[in-house]
Amino acid sequence: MSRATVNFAHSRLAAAGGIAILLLVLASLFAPLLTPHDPDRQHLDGGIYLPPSVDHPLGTDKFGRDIFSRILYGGRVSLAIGFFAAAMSVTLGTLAGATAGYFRGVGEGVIMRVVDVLLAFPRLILLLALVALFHPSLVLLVVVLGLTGWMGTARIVRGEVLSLREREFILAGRALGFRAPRILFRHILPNVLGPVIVAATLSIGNTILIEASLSFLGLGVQPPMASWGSMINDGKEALTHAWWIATFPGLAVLVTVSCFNLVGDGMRDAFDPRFEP
Amino acid sequence: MRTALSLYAATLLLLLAAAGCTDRGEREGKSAPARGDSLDGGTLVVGFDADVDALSPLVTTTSSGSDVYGEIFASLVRTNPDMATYSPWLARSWEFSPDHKSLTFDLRRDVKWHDGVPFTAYDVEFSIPLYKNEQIAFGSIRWLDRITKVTAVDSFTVRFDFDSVYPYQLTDANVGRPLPKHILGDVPVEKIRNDPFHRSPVGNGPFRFESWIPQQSIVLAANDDYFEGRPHLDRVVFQIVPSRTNLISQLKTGEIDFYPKLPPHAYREFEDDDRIEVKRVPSRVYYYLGWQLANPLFSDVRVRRALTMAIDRESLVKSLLFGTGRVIDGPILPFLWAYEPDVPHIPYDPEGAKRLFAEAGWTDSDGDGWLDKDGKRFEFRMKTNENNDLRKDIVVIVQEMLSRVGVKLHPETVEWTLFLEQTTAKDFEAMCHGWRQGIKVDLTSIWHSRSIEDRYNMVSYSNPAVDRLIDKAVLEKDRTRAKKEWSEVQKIIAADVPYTFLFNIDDLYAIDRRFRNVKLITYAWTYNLEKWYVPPDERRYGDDGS
Amino acid sequence: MTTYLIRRVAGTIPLLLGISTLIFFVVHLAPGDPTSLYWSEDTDPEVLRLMQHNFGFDRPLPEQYFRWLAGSFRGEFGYSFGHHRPVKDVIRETLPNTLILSAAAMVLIFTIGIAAGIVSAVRQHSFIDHAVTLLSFFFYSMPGFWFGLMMLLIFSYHLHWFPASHMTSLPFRYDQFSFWEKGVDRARHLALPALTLGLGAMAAVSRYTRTSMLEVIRMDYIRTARAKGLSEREVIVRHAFRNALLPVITLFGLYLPFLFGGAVLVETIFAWPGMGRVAVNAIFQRDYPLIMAVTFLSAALVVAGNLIADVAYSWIDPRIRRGEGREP
Repeated sequence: MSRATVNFAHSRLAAAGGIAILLLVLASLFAPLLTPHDPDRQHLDGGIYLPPSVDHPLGTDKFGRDIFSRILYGGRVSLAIGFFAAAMSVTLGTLAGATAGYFRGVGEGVIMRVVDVLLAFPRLILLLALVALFHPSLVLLVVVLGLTGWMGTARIVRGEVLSLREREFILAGRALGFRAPRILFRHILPNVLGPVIVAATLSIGNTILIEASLSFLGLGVQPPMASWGSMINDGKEALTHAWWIATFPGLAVLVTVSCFNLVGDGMRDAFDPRFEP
Repeated sequence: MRTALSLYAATLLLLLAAAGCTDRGEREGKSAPARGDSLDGGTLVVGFDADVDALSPLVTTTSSGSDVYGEIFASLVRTNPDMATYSPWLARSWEFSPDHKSLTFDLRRDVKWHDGVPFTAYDVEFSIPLYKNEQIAFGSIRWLDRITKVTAVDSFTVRFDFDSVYPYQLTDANVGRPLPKHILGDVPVEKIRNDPFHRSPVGNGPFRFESWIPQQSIVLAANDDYFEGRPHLDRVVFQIVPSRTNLISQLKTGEIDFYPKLPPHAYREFEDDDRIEVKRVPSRVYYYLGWQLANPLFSDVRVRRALTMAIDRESLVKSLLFGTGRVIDGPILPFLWAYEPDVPHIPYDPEGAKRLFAEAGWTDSDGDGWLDKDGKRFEFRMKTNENNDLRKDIVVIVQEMLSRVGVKLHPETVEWTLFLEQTTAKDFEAMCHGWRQGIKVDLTSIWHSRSIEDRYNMVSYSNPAVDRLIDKAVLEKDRTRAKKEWSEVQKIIAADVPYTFLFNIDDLYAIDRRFRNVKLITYAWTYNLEKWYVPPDERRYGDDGS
Repeated sequence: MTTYLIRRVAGTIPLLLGISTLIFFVVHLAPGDPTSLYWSEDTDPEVLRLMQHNFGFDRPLPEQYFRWLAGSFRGEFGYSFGHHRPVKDVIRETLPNTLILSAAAMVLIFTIGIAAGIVSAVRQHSFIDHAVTLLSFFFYSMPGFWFGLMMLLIFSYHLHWFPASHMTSLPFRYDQFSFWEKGVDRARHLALPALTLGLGAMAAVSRYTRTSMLEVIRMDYIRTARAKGLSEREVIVRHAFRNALLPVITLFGLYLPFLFGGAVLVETIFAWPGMGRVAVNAIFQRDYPLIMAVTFLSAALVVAGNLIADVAYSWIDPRIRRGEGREP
């Protein structure tokens, strides 16, 4: 582990990414302290479509709401969806992968076929169908994003478990008559934690991107709640005369996802020296 | 406000009437320009934000689709801009039998289908049963219910028989545009809906169908043999660009000449443009908030009045429509002859609203900022449909306006099909929706208590006086008397506040100034499309291309 | 090799069956049905019920499923309500356009992506390496649709360099162009959408190629080749490149679903008349037969792409053929 820590620290970019994420989370949590404007407060008289200025550093939207404060508050939604959906998909993926890898047999066949089926789908189209056909809501989004994002993790975990289960300490455990859940949870899962954390980190960034895409097609969170994606969607209509509405939330997504990817990559290098570029 | 509105309405009616007159005069007075006339030539490129579903009067359901087929197919009579009277088109004249139960049309002798076959009364006799066929499910099928029989008396005389006498017999006889019997006559009825004809139609109107590349473009070409004289434009191209941003961009670059659905926010962008002109025409659409009257929360008229007083409708028009619309107070729009300007107007008055709420028992007794009564907070969900930005925007603004008087609104956006299912099943507390007003003055399907069960009286509005008046007015053939009854209905409904009527929007048409003689009216922008022209020196795409 | 092929192809059949079942039930279990397309103030609810009956939406779900399945085995995908045409006509018109766009994106992804990856591997730790790494990081993390909007705003709306939508100029103008003008016209229309679609994957490919190159360069046989006195250029081109490319090929199959998903957004932004846009509209309109066909088809294409990638891989890497399998 010490070597991993050293490698991780070496990756200054990853560290910078981590700090940036921390700042982003703090900024959205303490948004009320950072901005004088209420994100939902409308100024229909003379306050709509104002370009960036001192009072509104990122301008205002079609209802005269302050974009800067909306980005901070929207970050809560985007980050929360990212965290929870990623947590869900990684948990699912780990369980599925570990079950498949450890027990093998019919269960493995079934699980891996399901993985194949879901992987063969353009995820966005599947998501669109699910969200459009049912009613888009925060919970539905998290569940649906979680349910369609676990396959990658499942494959990775299964691979790891397959190699672990033949290792001496596991064989020893089995010889001692330990029950399967105990071996799985006490001995195998801690050893696949590294790749799982990497997958989780990368998955958060990816989920934020996909949520933004869904929102862009009008199928994300519903107003007046806003995520960065739905803000871009709002700005799309006004792109030609109020460019700031779509541009800044897009930058927010870009920066956030970059940070998660930086950290994820950094950790992968740290856990798996083979990958060091 | 009220005077302003009535003034506006009067002016509008005058304008429309004037437009109608000059135009009719022009149609009848001016002889058709010969081929080679200097006005002939040029191409109009129209930007559509969605592909049409079909190009036939029988199966098309999209309004843009009917704009296009309206140029390919002529109908028996032409609806005048007043939307109350008619001019000859395929029919030279028409007359009712003494008992008024049958209507006979005398058709023009010189009309040909685009493939050269003459158009006759047998085409009409063939078409109407198709429109009435439930398997085909023509959109306005119910308009034909009272037509019992259509008979070709001879090649150029056709008679419609009705089961009863009512004011809109001519309108109903005119709703199904004649289709070519020589093409569709051999197709079995169950196959007609899926026939390729609907995608490459043969009509008899001013333009003929040339090509349709799905999701890309539809091209119509001038019909040289058009019976009222060849249209001036050689070609009308409908470019399908499913993004308003792209359409605006292409309008700027000159890739598109005409964009019939310019969004209000773009109105400002073209205000000082010397190449593009934006024309405003009052549309047939109005928006409203509907309150579920069967819900105890909204059963008190004072509450509904107070809610309306808390909503600054002028501000909605200003900020959402950039002024391109007008606040309305009743269920009939100014463009219709039955419009009554003098209905009770509810002014914006948040303080008055609070007083009225208090009168109805709603006060903020616990000081949490929200009104309450018997320990229950004044909150409700307002439903609207996905894919309609304007409605969603209205809800967001109304939510904030109501929060200022202590009413908590939770927006709920539902997918369109679901929205329909739920609202017609009365499964909502409040809703934001819009109606497109038909040309027939008939408030039955939305306001009659009979329509609560199975039609579009979603708010469960029931007023015996209104029922009685509607039942009487729909059978009234005399316009002046009918007008009185409709006026009464509008006044009662406005006073009952089952809806908070919001506004009537304007259609915004952005058009390149090269095009002349463009008359856009509420009924349809295509009204005189065959008379639009481009001066020769301003034409594009070279001689062979246009 | 043949056995391997047969086994792989046979393996895709249950896969496709599973996919089609999944879509069918997702689509049909959702509330609403396509008849609401025909809704208007004048439509009697009775008429809608009649249509539901005519279309068979009132039958039990399993019955509808087996009908659909039987139909699709005969190559009949049914009739699209939204387009008033057989589904296969709609597909025939739009699929090629999506393929053109995806192919163009693929070309960008693999030429620019691989080139950037090699350059940055060969010049490891140079300025150019850092620049490529940083850029690919940003592009990889960028919301593609947002990038598309920005391209539209800058290059179309403000600079007028590229057209904002469609595959060609107006059809009657396009028809008069000479061969070369047509080519240029198409390329100009293709540029922004293809770039937008390919950007993320391009960045990933460059990263992947770089890593793969660096691994190969450290291998013994490269050292041997260098020791033999081959020029650096020969070493890179003849030895390192070929071996480094191996893992990159598998990415081809991996990016297919990605491209189809992306096409949905890109076609929406740039008004590209492809299948992605049709899919979105079909979903909004509850056009069951079309949704089924489009999703099924894109899944089938993805499976086929994976198959091709596998076969290509096994052809290059003989270990696979001997039946050792490859853990994806």
